[in-house]
Amino acid sequence: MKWKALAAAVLAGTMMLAAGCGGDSSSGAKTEGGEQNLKGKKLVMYVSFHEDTAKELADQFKKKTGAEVSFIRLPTGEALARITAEKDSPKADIWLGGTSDAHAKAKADGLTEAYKSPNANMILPEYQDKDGYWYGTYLEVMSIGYNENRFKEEFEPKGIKAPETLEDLLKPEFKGEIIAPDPRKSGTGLTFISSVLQSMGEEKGWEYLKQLKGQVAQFTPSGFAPAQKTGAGEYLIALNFISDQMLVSQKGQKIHSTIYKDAGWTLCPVSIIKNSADKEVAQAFVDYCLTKEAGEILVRTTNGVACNPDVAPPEGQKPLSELPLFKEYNMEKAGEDKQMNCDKFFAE
Amino acid sequence: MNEQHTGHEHTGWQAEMKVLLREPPLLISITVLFLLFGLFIIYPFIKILMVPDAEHWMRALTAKEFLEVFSHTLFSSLVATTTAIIFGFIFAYAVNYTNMPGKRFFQIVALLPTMAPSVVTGLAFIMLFGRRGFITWHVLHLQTDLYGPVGLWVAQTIAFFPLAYITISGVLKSISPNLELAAQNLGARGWYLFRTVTLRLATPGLASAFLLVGINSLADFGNPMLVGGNYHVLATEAYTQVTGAWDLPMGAVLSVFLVIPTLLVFFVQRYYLEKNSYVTVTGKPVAGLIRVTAGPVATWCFFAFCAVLCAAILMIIGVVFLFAFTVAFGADYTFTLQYFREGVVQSKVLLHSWSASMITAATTTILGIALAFLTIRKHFPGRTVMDFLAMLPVSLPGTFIGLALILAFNEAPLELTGTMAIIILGMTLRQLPVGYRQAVAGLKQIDASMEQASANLGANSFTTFRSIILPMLKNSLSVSFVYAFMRSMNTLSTVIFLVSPEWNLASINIMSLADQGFLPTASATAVGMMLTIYLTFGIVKLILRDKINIFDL
Repeated sequence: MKWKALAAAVLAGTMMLAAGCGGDSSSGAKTEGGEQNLKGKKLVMYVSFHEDTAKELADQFKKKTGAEVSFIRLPTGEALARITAEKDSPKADIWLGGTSDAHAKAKADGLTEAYKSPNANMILPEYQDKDGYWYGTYLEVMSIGYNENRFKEEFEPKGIKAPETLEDLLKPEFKGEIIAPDPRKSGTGLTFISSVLQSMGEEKGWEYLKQLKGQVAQFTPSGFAPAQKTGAGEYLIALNFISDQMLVSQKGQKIHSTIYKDAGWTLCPVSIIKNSADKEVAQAFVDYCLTKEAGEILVRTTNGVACNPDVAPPEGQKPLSELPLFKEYNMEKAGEDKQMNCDKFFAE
Repeated sequence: MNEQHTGHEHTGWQAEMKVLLREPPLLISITVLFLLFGLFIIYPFIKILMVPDAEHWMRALTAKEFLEVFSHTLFSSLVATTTAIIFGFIFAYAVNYTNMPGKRFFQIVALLPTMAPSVVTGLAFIMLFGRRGFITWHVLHLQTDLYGPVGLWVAQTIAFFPLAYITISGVLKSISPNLELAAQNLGARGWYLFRTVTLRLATPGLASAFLLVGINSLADFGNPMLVGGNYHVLATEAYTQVTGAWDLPMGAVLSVFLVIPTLLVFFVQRYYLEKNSYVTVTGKPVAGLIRVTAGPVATWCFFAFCAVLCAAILMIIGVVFLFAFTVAFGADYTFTLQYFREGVVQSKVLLHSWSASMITAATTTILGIALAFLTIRKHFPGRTVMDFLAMLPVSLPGTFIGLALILAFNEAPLELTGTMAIIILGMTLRQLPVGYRQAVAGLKQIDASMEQASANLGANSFTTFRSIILPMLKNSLSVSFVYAFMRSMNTLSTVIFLVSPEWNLASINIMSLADQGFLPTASATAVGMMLTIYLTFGIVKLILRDKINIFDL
């Protein structure tokens, strides 16, 4: 107990010192391009989205500031477990990506720390934590995807209409052909059931989910797996994020994706891990993630929609304001109700 | 086949202590081993056990879903172990008792499932035999669905039969041919000879292999994750409780449940198998005796069996190769080296994996044999405890070991997280039981009278160990080295929480790549891994020549 209090005191002291140094020209030195000079500094990240996205962000950040960036990709849950286990002596400075409910949990558990970024106004206020614990970088949106080849060969000749709405998924001809992520284990799965419950209302929502559950052949632990298995033709319909479906599609296994009405979504945030080794470089990285330039990298490599409204949407997709998203989706409530809703969903 | 007491007489722990004090090096090594176990097994274990509270235990014991998971785990590992043992036995028998053609080839192919990361082989397996499998759907037009208990059964059988095969093969090799020849001279033939002599002699080894494969499959993570579908087992459930439900305490509780079957296994081993020992290496000359071999019909049956099994394995590995070296499997079959360059040539992960696995294999082999020598041949207080601790890690899901290690070694004075040391530690804990078990099985086949002879001639424990025990255990040592190296190269669950940006491993990279849809690069890395393993074995064989058996297990 005493130990912790001491650590907190030291921490507070360091923070004040750091704040005091903010105006100091030596630590916040700018390079010619108006960027901070962070040469010789090191940044370690846990990344919970695609590796190539992280690599490009890291490379650009290094080019601009001179800081050395190293990272390892860990799925959201693993990253959270790791940060929790390492909390007294963290081994990384930044947690980038994953779902916002996980970042909200990290905030609640005291694993991350607040930072008021000067670039905070670059992204829409609804996509950042009000206390500055995490900032959204891009949005992942739920979509109904189906395997084009299989649909044309096996379903279209029978006069079956392509599945594009949530109601379509309940049709008997699609029974056993749908694959979706497990809400207990995947942020994608949780986003789906929570957004359905919130948009349809408890009563109608549960009625829908109960019926849908009977249609789904498999609930996967990974949010990406449904797209991959649908691409391979094992199942006809994938219910997950559109960026995952587009990724498979671009590799040659065509998946037709539709963002349905009142689609659920999540953010891929960036957070600074508490007691990280080098706050200055971590904060500079957060600032960088919110810029238009970083947003463009994110959109190009993920097919997601940037939280920075100045960034153009990915090719063939509508801008954020025109997507049929369920705008009122409350992620914090989804996180709070997780256990209860999952138990109810899987109860017979 | 003489049943007898080994080593010194039992006269209580005081007498044992006296014997120990007469041999200070022995006392020191036992003390050091206990300290190491205390620090690296007991301490992390306690650290993670302190995470859950009473409420978690209650929920795990009463919730229907967890009871279901528990019974799934027991059932699936029981059936998979049974078939893996049967397959492994047939294979080992065919290799050791027949003159079938292509023996060498079969021996090499049989090791492949252990060498290839289950992430890619699992996917390849589904692509060949799954719902839209190349064989099942496109060629045979069958409606199959591997996701669930049946697919898991098949996948685990293929995954674990190599372990069964090499363990049983070791047992069969050490059966002295003179007993079988004697039986033959007395008129025993074929099935009767097999049933009354060979099988009898192999029984303790078989039981030991059964237990080893059994606890390995209980803690198996990769296969249930990939082909289990909606059929959940404890190892995957413990992992997803931590990573999906963010419930570390519940993950810890479920992991501890996996220790229960191991405890059972441990007591069965101790109180049943140890009473029935079949010593066949007695120091009496057997050289020049040729083993009885099976008749032509039996030989061809064995050949057919091995051929079918190896064909299935080769098809799975073949798909991995196709993924790695074609532009887009299923769409564009143009040959390309691009993925191999990305995944192998330009990547440091294979080198990291190699170094960590080599160190692990050497450590577990040496430690395993030292431990086995102590627990089997020496009598000292705490012998049973040591035996149990050496076996304990095998039953724990890898993620549990990984989490326990980061909880225990994240802070000074023993700050190991983020280093190579913690990775090696995790791998060593995971592989130690196999090395230990192999050495125990080997030692039990050797009559203690030779060591007693050595002791009578004035040698101390260490000299006896070095010049009598080690040479006779060549096969056991080879098995544990080869197996520990292969398994460490592609261990996944144990190191998930231990890798760092600086020290990433090939197995983790493969999973991560597959997880993001980069199957070709994942497959290329897997191919690189298999090549690395074969190359390493080739070089080790060239250096050590007859001192080690690698492909002739």
